Amino acid sequence: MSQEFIINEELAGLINDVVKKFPLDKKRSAVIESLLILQHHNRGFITKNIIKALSDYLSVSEIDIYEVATFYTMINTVPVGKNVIAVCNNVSCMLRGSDQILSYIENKLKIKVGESTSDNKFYLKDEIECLAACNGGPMMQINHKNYENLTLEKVDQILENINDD
Amino acid sequence: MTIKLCTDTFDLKDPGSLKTYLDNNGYLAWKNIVKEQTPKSKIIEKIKDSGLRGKGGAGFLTGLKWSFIPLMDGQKYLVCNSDESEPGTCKDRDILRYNPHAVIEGMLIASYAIGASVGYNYLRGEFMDEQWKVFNDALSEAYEEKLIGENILSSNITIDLHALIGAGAYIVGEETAMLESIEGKRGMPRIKPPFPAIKGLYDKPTIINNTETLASVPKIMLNEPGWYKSLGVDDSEGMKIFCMSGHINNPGNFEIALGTPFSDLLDLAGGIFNQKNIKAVIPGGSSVPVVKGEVMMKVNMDYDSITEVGSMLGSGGVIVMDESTCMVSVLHRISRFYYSESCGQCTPCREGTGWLYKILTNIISGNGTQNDLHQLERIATQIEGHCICALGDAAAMPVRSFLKNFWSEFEYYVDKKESMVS
Amino acid sequence: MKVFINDKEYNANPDETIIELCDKVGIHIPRFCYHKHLSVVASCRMCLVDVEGVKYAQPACSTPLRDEMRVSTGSEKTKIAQKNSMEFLLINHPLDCPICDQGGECELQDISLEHGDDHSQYMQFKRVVVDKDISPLISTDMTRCIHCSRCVRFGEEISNVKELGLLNRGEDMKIDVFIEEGVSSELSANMIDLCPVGALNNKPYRYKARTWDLKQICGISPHDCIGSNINYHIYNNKIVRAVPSENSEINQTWLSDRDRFGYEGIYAKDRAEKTLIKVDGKLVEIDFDSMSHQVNDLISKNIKEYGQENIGCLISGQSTSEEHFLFQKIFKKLGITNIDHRTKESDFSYQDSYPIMPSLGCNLNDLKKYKNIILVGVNVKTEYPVLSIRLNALAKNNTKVYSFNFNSLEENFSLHHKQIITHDNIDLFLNTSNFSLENGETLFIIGPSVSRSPNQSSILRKISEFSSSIDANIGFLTEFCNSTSGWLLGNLPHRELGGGKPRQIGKNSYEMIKSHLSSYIFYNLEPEFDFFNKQDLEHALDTSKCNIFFTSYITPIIEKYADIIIPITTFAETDGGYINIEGTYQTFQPIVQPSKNIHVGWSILNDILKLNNLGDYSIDEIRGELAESLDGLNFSTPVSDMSDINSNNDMENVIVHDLSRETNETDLIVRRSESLRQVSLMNKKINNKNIISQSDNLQTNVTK
Ligand SMILES: Cc1cc2nc3c(=O)[nH]c(=O)nc-3n(C[C@H](O)[C@H](O)[C@H](O)COP(=O)(O)O)c2cc1C
Ligand code: SF4
Ligand code: FES
Repeated sequence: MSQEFIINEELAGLINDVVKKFPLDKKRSAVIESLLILQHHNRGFITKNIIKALSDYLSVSEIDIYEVATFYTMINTVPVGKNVIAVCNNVSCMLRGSDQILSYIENKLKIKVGESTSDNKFYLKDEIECLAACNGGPMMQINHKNYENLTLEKVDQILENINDD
Repeated sequence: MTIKLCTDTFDLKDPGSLKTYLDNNGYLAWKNIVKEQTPKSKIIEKIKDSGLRGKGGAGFLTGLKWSFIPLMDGQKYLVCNSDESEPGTCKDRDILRYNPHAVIEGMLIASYAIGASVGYNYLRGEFMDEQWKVFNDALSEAYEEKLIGENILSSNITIDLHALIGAGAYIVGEETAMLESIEGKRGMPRIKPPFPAIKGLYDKPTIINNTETLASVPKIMLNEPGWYKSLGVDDSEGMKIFCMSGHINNPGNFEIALGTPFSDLLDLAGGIFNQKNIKAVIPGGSSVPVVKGEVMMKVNMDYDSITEVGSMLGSGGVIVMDESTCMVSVLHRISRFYYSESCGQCTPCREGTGWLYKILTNIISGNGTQNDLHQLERIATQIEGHCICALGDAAAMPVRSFLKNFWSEFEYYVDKKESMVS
Repeated sequence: MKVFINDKEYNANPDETIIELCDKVGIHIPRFCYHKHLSVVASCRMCLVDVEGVKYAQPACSTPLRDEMRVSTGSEKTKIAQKNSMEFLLINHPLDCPICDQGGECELQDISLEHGDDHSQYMQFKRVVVDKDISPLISTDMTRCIHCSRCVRFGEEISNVKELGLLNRGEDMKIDVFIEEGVSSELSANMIDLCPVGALNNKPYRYKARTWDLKQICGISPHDCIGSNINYHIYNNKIVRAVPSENSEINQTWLSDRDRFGYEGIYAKDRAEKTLIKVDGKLVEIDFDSMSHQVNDLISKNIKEYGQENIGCLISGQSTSEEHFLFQKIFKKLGITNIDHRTKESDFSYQDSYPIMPSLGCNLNDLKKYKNIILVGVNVKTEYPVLSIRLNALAKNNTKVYSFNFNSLEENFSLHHKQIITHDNIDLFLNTSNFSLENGETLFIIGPSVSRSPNQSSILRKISEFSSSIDANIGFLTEFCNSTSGWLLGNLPHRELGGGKPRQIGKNSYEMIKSHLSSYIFYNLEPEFDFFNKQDLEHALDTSKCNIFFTSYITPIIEKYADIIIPITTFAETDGGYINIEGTYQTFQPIVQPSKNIHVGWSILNDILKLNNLGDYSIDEIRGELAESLDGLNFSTPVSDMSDINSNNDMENVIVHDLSRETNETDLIVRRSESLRQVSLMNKKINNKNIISQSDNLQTNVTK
């Protein structure tokens, strides 16, 4: 049986800072950023109990939060690997060879987009959205950090430098 | 000397710092306004006269938009749209990290002019690592200097600005979807009217402007009337950042006067890869119609000229394709994007974008038929103009223009089950 | 404003949309997402119409009319646009009409026959959505969902309990719950009506019949005093389904789940279906036709042996007005004064100051004139679910709602102020220094928990005092659907029909039980649940000599103590009527025929009346007299001053029972509805936190 999720003092502090940006009676506005905070704390994904805890904390119904969690692609509602790799393969990057970069990573990590490695170290996100670095293509984000003008050698290097904290 | 508006700090040391900005006449316009308590109408008038057009995609006149805000008292909001996610567009990300104070100053002036005491800058979630941090730091600096907050610079003016972060959804760039998202909901566009200027965030009058639009405001206010106008051409006044990507030697953001020939812009971007020929250009982000290369080479980069060749200036995301490009694959990729980003509320967009994408996938995998090409056209026409927001159109326009300009290439693919160029 | 629709001129109001005007004048425009009681989202795009001068067809549901606007609802452009929307909708909709319960009443089916091509050119895979068991009342087939979001908006806007949400986006969008078996509000089944396709269906009705074989008869809800109008669907003399019958004055287009599934109780296993009499301690069946003589003989014998003053007559507030009329007529004429319908009450000092009949004090539609509504002793959400829809709408508008209750303060509308009270402290809280009232008119609504309070009189007096001090009105909500008739028609020890004073005042229900009379006559009451105190009642039955039960069910206590059991009809098997809390007398006809040994309630009462030569009525004659007694009564004035109530109740010696009324246990029929029993079980499970958090994962698979 799973544990109840507790919003501890530290998390409460972070969420309160978000709540403060909005009018007093508009706590719901804090849902998205709070989900990102809680997801980060929970190693990359949101669970039922997290939604329940946030629902209590912000007085927003669980289903309202669940709706939001499933609408935005950066919020994961299934467990994923610790390091999120997102290779942009929208038009601009595609024109500059992002498809090769992506399949190179797929082969290297032995996973397909949308999957996590068996050691749970990497999650290869299906990044359909353009990552707004078109003039640096091909590019990818690992844990939201940009790596631009990629080559296969660069990819090897970058992946090697990701630590197994 | 080349004039730079939003990008003038880009090449300086510590471009995002308050010091750098102040050294470049930063916050002068704002300080003047605070000191002189400039009447709001005067500011709106000046922006109107400058001819500044929104840089987010639709090119709506900024001053005119501001003037829609009701005059009576009450809570009003300003929202800066930094959701930048139209494929091919990557200008706001640089403004946010290299010139954040221009955005802040623009937001302050706009808030003041429309009577908003609170402004939000909504950044797309993927900006979390860099732009989000830089912009928040800049906000703190400005708060410390009393440029924002309660009783700004000891005046009776109070304006609070906050940065907000999204979590991955292209549609949130649509202004009313953004309002929903700020309210903590799914980003689903609202029906218009009522327009946000009348009923926006939390049902209060709200103005939404693009990052580049707002970052242009301080310089316009600082210079004498007519200055901004004189930079561009008729109906395309002033400057615009073009994001050059694709098959070019020197991709990047280039801020140029509107009306500059495309060929000059291409030269700035180092010309086509390996001296190949230019095949096609998408001049304003992936949603606008594609234009054949040879046509584009004769066009000037202003709203009317691009409209004349059947496309749009849009967000300024210029995607250049050389002769080796397979147009079927490009369209397939574009369609996949709009399919995956549809919010799902309107039937034609929810179901139609998927249908388009699936037909194109069929074609790519060698199972397409001639009839499929006609289907594509038919479906695109069915979507167009029939949805709440413009995402449906954004999905339909590429399909129709790719087919129109490159029909034979699509036919070839269907017949031979392989690309004409490979 | 002058507008033209299909070239015909109409007058339009400012802000009126195309669809509103067309609905008003009877021009049909197809729609899925639009519903007159829900917000406009304009997302299905089925209502696209040709507006002159506009390039693309426009959604009629969200396009306001402008002066001189010309709309064509049948032009080629309109037809093509609608056909296209239809085609898109059918892309992912299964073509399983032959096995779909919605078949025959499916808006999608109707519209596609009318507007679409018979098939779509779409040849790819259809979206498949995995179904969950979300409720005992609602079956889902989400692959059929067309994402009109009516069900979601219902939760957000009408019931204010959002149970279904829109998950994911784009083509993967789906309607779902946060936790399985999560749909349990008191109004949830309205989503079945709202769903234009077969995605949300009536679970108990599943596969029971095809729509075109059904007969429809309108009835009135017997489960609360609001009097919702219900259309019962009958197949082979059996009710198989109930749906709302629109009544803009009362339930609008809504029904509570209790009203919708309560009828199942008439098919309970313990239904009394035989005429039984006790011989040597055993119940034996007697001839149907001789029943009236047997009962009458027993009554006469009791009167003779024990005297009128030793007989107690009790009738349920759920019985029909016609039954109430005849019941008091018989027994009062026979000289019995111990007569009452207030079986759940225990403190009656208030009774002389009480109005002639409890009423809300205004029509439901006029509630909006109040700026303040103060609820005392009522949980509207669970006890009067349909009323909560109104209060939610008012609370969102300009009315402030306050609640003072003994237990639950959880409502599905926002309360401006709330306070848990006990039986002797209401005066501490009824004080404007504790809460501020808005300027404007104020209405008190006093609920059944107050009537059940052993300190009822004192509470009523205090409310009355406070109310007159702030110039407020007082209204009531009653225990049963027809407690009104019990009062008005004189099933009371202290009043005659129409409120007159009797020569002699009899015992109230509490005194009848406490003083252990020799004989009791029960009409439509369940000893186990319908009395203030079951133990006290059992003691009384233990010692009494003769107990006569007119009843629809044989419960263990009835079986044990009855000397004669007269099986009577429920609301569904008889002509009848109820007076709702606004004072509206609504009549109905039999919905199904009773099984052959069951007596029609009013008719067996009339037989007894006849046997005693006290009169003979037809149903119409009863209704005529009834209507007369209602005539001239005005329920919209404030009730009489109750501040002279003397209450010398000594709270210290009173056992206080739990006054909460579970939604699905308010009356003997509802208590027997199997589907509603399932809902109660589910709710218990949901409230037990340990069970639901077994799995913490939200979604089990990634899509795309
Ligand atoms: C689907 C869609 C996506 C959009 N995305 C963006 C965006 O990422 N950034 C932006 O500034 N405007 C975007 N827009 C345009 C906005 O709706 C809005 O017009 C703009 O922010 C107004 O600012 P402006 O007048 O300064 O251009 C988008 C519009 C649509 C229909
Ligand atoms: S389940 Fe029915 S009511 Fe709900 S969105 Fe789907 S089609 Fe509409
Ligand atoms: S009914 Fe108008 S768009 Fe759905």
